[in-house]
Amino acid sequence: MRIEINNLNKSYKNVKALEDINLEFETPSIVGLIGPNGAGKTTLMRILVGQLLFECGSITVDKKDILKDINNFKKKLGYLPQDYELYNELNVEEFIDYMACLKGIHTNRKSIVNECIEKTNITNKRKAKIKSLSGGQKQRVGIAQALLNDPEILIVDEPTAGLDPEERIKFRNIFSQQANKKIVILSTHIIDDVESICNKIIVLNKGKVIYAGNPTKLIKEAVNHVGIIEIPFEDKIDESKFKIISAKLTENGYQYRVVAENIPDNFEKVSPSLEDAYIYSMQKKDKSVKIKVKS
Amino acid sequence: MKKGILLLKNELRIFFKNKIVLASIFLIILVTIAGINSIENSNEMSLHGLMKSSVTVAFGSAKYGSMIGAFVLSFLTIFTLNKDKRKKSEEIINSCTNSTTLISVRLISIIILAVIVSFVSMLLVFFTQKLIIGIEPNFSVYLYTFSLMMLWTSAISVLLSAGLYLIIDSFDISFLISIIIFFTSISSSNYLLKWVTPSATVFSDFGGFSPSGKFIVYSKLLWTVISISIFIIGILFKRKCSEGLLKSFRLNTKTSLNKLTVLVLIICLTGSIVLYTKEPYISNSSLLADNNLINNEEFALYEINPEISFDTVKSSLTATVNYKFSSTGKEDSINFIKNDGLKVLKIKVNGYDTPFKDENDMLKVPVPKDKDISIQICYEGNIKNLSAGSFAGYIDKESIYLLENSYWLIAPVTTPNDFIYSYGKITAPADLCVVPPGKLENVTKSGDTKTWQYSIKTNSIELGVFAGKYKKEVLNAGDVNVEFYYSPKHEKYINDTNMQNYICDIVSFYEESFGSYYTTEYPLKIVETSIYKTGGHSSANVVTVSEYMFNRNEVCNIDNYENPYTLDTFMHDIEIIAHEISHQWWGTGVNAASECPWSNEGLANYSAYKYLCKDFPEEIVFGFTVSSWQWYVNKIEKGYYFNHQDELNNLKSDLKYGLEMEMKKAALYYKMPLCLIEGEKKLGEENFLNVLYNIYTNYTNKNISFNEFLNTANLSKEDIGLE
Repeated sequence: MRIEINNLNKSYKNVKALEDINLEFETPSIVGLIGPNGAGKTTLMRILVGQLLFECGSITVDKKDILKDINNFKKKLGYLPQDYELYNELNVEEFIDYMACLKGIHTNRKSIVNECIEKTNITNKRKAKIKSLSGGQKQRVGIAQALLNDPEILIVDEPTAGLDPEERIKFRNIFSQQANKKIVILSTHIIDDVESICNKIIVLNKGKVIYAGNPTKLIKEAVNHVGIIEIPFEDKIDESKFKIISAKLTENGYQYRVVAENIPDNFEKVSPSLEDAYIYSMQKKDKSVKIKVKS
Repeated sequence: MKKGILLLKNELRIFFKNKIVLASIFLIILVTIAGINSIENSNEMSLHGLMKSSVTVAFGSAKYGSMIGAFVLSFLTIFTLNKDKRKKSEEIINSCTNSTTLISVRLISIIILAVIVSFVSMLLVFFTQKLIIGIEPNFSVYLYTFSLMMLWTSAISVLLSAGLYLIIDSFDISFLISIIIFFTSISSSNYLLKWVTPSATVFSDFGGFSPSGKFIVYSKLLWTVISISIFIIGILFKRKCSEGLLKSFRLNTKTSLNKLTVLVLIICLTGSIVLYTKEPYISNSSLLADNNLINNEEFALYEINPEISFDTVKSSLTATVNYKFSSTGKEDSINFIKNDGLKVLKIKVNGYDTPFKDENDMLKVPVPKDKDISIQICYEGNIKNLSAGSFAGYIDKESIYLLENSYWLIAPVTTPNDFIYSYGKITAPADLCVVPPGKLENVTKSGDTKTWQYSIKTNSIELGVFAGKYKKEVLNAGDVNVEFYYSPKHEKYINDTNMQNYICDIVSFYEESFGSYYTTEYPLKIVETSIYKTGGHSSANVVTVSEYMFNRNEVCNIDNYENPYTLDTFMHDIEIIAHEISHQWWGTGVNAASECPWSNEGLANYSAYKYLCKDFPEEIVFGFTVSSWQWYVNKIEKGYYFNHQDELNNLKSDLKYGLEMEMKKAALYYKMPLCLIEGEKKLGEENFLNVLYNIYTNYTNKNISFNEFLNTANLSKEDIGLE
């Protein structure tokens, strides 16, 4: 599958939610979509799944206009939105089966349902009412329904938000296991998740793509822009010059990890992490880029 | 298709797991069953104590079922369509399937639910009637009643509320609007708006369902088209991609499928307008309700000879009527009133084809200025009525009911001669027994039809025709030959209550009190008619009595009654029968030329009261008649507009008309008999009845004015309580 987004623009009243977005996705890939709140991640995802319109630009899926072929696209799509609820009156198996019917799965439905339940590790909860499940378990059910039609493109919006670290790891594994024949687009605030499983990342800020590409390249861009310094209790760091990544308490004061365009000599320069690179990219001037996302 | 069936099965499966759905099903079934006795326990005298049968049990239950079904399914529809929005599962669901398909599947599920609930309710009521009430049910009656009333109403409700929800996109507002439409329908007097409950109070036990059923079918048909239109509008305005109403509409109309939908919408909207404006059963004529038409005195009708053929399948008639007039030669046209459902085909005047002007309910026929004029009018068509609840006439496979004021017989607006001769032929299906006015001369059979030939000499053109699957019984009430036509279905009640004896007793009482029946040439015909016209009627030598008076649940023993309500009901029935029979003396025999409150109605009420006093406990009769008349008169006379009648002109015309009619009714029906009772007190009962006897004897086949009555009785207005 190949998805091309060209000059995509979307506004809410007078506020530009997305501006001149140009992206390409190709199977197989796991794409991490990151950015601060209000950057336009959810808007972009909702446009991709045909639940929002855009003012101008185009999206094509295998050269076909998504708007004209949305019903066909839905057959290849697995989607888990950010904020959703499931049918509480049903149990897990009934709900997954219901969703399988909605997706038009009629042959081997039962085994497909079972397979998805197993994949998402909720076998022991298959007869439990949805209302009795924990947040993580509900997310698993959400993922299970998204995987039912063995989608060519899986779009998940902040699937690990609110989950404990163990659950997050399990989720990451589920996505990476799916990715060999799919495009997985994963929106998140948690850089760790992206770092662990995504081979490509897209950084969105204020509706614009400020970086799109390999995480390593993003990290490279931040080399020499990350530093550490220890400052006694009685002194203060000049926050206008640096973006503080962390402030760790030491015996004599605080050890600050900062990102800046120019790291002073008295700072110890360190290798940037993806998180540092992400913060560094956010510091840079807005720019729109065209990117090809493929493995 | 396969996916559609899969989705449907899927929806139904989760539908029946929902507690609200299950509670709704239970509620609908419960209320439907609660309607089992609703007809018999009605406050309306025509329905109170009506014999339980498949018709009453199924009708009552289906009526309740249609009300609760419409209400609950409307809620359930909006609740279901709103589910994903409410549960925030809209995005997930919409990413899986086409939302229009899903909406359609969900609606089909609710309609299937409606079918199941209607069928289960029907079976439960059916078996309750069979096993608990102990009356053998008629399955076809049940099937007709429940599908026509409960199921059809539910389906309309589902489409209507779905459409409203899709347009408004708000649970609260769309449900509120549904409720408003629901209650408007229930409270409306316009049958076209009555898609929830029927315009009829009950179906006739013997007169056929379609006279009333056709109104139900038509209003449901209209609302089906309206609800489909609203649903399609809903589909076109269904919110798409989080956009607003108009943008969603633009998006929805872009697809080729929805272009087809727009075409269907245009067809449905046109259909709604056509169905509403071309409504076929209600008369638009103001003349049919006008009792104050001024006769053209330049012409006098002295003979009318109709040849009528009824097509009960098409509910229509074909007629050729010959009229003979004497004329002063001063005027060159005669006006006729006709039912606006009838279409004039041809008119001949003195044997020559004549052009005519057919203005819906008025027909203007040009005539030469000759002394003798004969007119032949050929016409055909159906009978329209003023409202769905008031039948002046209908033609049905099971029965025919044509009162003179339905203008089935096109009537000239001319002065009647002292006597009018009428020789007529009435052709109808052979399985019906036609009761024509006057004397039955001959009956001939040809194939599947019979022709009844009659003759009558009468002082008015008021001729009715009635037919049904009757049993005829000939009774001898003194010197009067009484023909009693009733449905064999009600024979047991008639025999158990000795209704024949009551009829003979009433006739004998009037003969004894007022004088011999006005004619020896014709029998007095007492005819049971369907419940679609409540009460009774009297014209020429025919008295009609609505079926419910011969079809009660309990037989009343007036010497040893256990249930006072049964006695009340029975007395009410006998009072109506006595009232209508007395019109043969006061109305047909002697005509009290109406000068409010002097009226045939007042005399008939007084006569019936006198009869009741003879056979029923006097204090109960007094409470039932005199006290209630007094109460009604007092209520009217204390009313503001009664005492400020000049202010009536400030009211809207329909309100003014209503109030005037109420006052007139109080004067004619209630004030007048009270005046007569006052006169009786003044003169003594024996003397007063002697006065009435003398009046009747001296004025037979004539009119009597109020003054003539007062002078004969030697009473003043003050003596009888009038100022």
